[in-house]
Amino acid sequence: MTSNAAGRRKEGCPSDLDLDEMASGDLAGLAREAELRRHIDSCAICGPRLTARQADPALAPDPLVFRPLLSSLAATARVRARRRWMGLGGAFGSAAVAGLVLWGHRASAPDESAVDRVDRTKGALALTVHVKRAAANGRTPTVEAVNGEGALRAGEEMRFTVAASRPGFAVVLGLDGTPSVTIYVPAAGATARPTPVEATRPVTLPGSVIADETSGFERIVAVVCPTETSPDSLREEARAALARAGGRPEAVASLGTGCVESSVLLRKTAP
Amino acid sequence: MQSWDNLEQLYLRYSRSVYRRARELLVDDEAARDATQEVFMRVIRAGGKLPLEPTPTAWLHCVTTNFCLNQLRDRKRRNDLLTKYPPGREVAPNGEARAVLFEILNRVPEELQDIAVYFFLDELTYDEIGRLLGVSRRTVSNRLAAFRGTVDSLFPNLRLAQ
Repeated sequence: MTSNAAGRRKEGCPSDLDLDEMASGDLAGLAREAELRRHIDSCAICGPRLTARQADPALAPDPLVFRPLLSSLAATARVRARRRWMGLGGAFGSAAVAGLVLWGHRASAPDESAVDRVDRTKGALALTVHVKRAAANGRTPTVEAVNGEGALRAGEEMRFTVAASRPGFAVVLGLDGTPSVTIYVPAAGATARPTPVEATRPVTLPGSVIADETSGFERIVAVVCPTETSPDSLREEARAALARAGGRPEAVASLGTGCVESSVLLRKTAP
Repeated sequence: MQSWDNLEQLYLRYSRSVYRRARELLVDDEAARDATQEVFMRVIRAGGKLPLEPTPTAWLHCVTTNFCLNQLRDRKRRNDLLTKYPPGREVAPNGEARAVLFEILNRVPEELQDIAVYFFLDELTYDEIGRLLGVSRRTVSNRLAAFRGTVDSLFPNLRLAQ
């Protein structure tokens, strides 16, 4: 790699774009993510760089920006519905048009249930971890959807959703730095059967997990295999991958199962 | 191409990087919010589809960069560089020198502007720029040479970092 000798960026340090790609989850499960993570953990410049970006409140998603987008989205859905209707050649009456418009609008409206807020992706497996944040000062607990990287406190509850491009059988594993591997889905562990998932829609997997008090990184990995694969055998492959990564879940790029995988890296802290 | 049915999720996942990028280039919170909204409007108009190559974040980075450069061109900020920056002063992409870079960008052809931003401001390597733009390393090198040549002819007393 040719270094850029223009200024502040030291040779070998990630660019701002690299940090953005990692934070958004685009690199989840890839070797590049593990490489960046290793660097950040050992670099006196990049660790604080990443921390400062994550802590910058100005970068939090702005509802004042998103609300007009939702309005636009609803309008777009209505236009699409009209176009679809016109394509049918006027075979149905105006009541059908109204139905299509309402359907389009309803389909595009924001979902009230945070647990069900899931993106569907095509061409990849996407794992979303829904973390039920502990209530503070008498407030209602909130549910945060985490892709890529996020934070987790002991006692918080997690649920998992996968969106797969092909149908298969899902298992979710947790790799931590003790080091150990836990089967989260299926809930009954190694003896239970993987959960069937469809390719047509995101699937929220049964059961939930309460975070224990082990601090440090935990990598949650969803594995979807085309045929039913024993959770225990996948756990063994995860253990081997964790051992290859020196017991550091943040450095695990792939479990090498031969199935499609997607992961979320969580930094666990005390409550 | 990755298709998002839930655009709120798409926004929550990528808005930080888009806003950060817009704020970095426009140096104006309000303008950066407008830019963020415009970028996501474009994604919505495109059916919520994001290219997977090089990555969705990188693709949005390019879209945001181009949008912001257009905004900056529209602002028509043109000051006299040579009075502000005496002969022999080295231009590195930090602090006030960033302002110099944007002044220069106002005077070079559009097709050279984004690559100059990626190199001098983002400090990406030739390989990283090539991956981002989907062009060869040689193309990156040629365009940067063209940029330097243009700057040399316009500002003979200005020295760009190599």
